Amino acid sequence: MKRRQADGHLTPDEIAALMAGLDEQGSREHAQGCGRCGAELSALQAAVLSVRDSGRDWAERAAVSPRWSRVSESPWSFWSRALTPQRLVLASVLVAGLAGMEAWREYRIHADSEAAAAEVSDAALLAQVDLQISRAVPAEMEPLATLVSWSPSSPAEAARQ
Amino acid sequence: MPAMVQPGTMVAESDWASDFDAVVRQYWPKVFRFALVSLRDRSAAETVAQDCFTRAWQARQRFRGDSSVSTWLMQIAVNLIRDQSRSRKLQFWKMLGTSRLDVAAAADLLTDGRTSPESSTSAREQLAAVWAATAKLPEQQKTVFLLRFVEDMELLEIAAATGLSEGTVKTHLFRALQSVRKTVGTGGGTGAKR
Repeated sequence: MKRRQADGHLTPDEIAALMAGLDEQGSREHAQGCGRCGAELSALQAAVLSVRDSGRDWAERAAVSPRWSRVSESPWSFWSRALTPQRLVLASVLVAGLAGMEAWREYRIHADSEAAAAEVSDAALLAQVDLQISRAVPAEMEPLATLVSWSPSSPAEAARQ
Repeated sequence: MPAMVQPGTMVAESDWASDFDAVVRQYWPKVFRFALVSLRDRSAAETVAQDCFTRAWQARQRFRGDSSVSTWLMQIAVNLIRDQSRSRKLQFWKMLGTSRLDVAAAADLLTDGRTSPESSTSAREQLAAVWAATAKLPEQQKTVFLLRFVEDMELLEIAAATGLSEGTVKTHLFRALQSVRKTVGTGGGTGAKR
């Protein structure tokens, strides 16, 4: 590093060293008391500050939202990401469909049992009708039939019997 | 909890794990800004910031609180930026863009109405020259310079983030300031806003 100039002012290296924290004994005191050296130090500080301000301004303008991903996540964060509205709607439709299918199956079982019962009832009624039809006289009139004896009145009628 | 952590304070590992999102929200701007001014590439800076927090999350078990969260994250960022800078592709784009486009863009940022048109032009030229000088600095000098003067980090924090001794940090800073100082006119201000 170049030492103090012949006229007693700080060299550029000493100015830079002051800013870098390498200030030697007396340099800072000199810069504080000397207008010329103080101005040089201020100019360098201002240049550095302008870099800082413009860099920060630049970063603010170019700012992007944080985007990063963890390798492993908590269960809640997984489900909060997995359960999107679309997926919830789809799941609701699936659940409703399954419930509808189950209700339809129950209805079909019930309807089948009713049909079977009706079939049995119909068969019993038909059997009863057949029995009534097969009688010579209706069941209510059978006592009267025993009171009457039938004899043929003519040879042709006898032949028919 | 990390959400309430102030820069420079320690965070227990359990707090990291419980609310890492708050850490991301708090330190993302700082990491992104440092990556942006170092790489001068928005997309690359975003990638570095993403990688930085992903690596921090993966390595959270190894965080012992020896340094602040901020310093630890900056240490990761410094390594990622160094890797990025070494890639041949980025080197190519840096050569193509740094000297003209990015420096001009940076210079345009100093137009906030607090300076007269004449001094504003002078300040923009000055600023462009300083940015150009910064871009030409060797990697470690540039890193130390930006950490010190853009991120306002203390010398010991910079030493921890870069893995250098405090003395070496001062030396890099001195060399960087020597280069930057050559762009600053003697005997007068820069016309900057302060």
